[in-house]
Amino acid sequence: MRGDRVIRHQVADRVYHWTMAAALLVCLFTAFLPILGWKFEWVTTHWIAGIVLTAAILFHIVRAVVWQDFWAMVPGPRDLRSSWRFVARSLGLGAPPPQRDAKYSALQKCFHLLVAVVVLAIVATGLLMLSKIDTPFWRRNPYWLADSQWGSIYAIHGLGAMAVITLLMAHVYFALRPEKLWMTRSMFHGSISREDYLRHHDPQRWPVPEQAPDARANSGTAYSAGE
Amino acid sequence: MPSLFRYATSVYGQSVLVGASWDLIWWFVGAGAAFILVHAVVKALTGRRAGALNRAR
Repeated sequence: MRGDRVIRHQVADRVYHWTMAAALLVCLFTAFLPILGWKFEWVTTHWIAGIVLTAAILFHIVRAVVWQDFWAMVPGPRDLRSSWRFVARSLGLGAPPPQRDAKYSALQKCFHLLVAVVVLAIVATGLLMLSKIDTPFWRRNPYWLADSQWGSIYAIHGLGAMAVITLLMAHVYFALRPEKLWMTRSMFHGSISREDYLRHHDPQRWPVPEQAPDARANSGTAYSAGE
Repeated sequence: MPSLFRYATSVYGQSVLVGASWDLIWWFVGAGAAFILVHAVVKALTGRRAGALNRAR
């Protein structure tokens, strides 16, 4: 907590998010603009952006597993119960009100899981495809796999890339919705107000200290179970 | 309905998978747009209904 604000995203996580966003957008533009008729030399930019994306994701995985609460982003029974209550109440069925979220809502966890599966599939197939191009670091070897195997790898890479367009549209849409802006702003400056914290989150599921020195809040280290 | 995959003919005359069909791009864009539209309409309608209920109370 910094004054009356609660740190939601540490600097390292924000840098990761925007690095991933930039790398992913460069990958998408360099992949799809030539297909849509805008011809340019796209391969070099595409594979370099892919390497940046891979490095960013590796950083994120290590940080999530070692320094953060990995399970904070995994859907659990409470998320299922809350989701069911929300749906039941929306349909007019009798149900208690859904619990307030931990650091992330059930939908955010499910979306993250979906993005993780799709992007990891793209990265894994993209790394294999690097063996088909010449770079300053290695010579191409297109005969490493059979044609049919390459076809499957290209199909997974392409389908995943197109799925990212849909996921990105949904992500940006939710980020821009007026009722979500309090959360979106925290991906720029890192914190949310204490009012928003108490209104949207269950302090027992995402505990943050009542008072913390500024130095601790700015140290870049995780200090709450929900991070 | 566009095909899901692109195929080429190998030197042996066999059909070989070469990747996903790029005709699907617009289907994925359309799916995103449809999701946004449906969600926005549902939120607008439920928000209006909730507002009316609050005013009635």
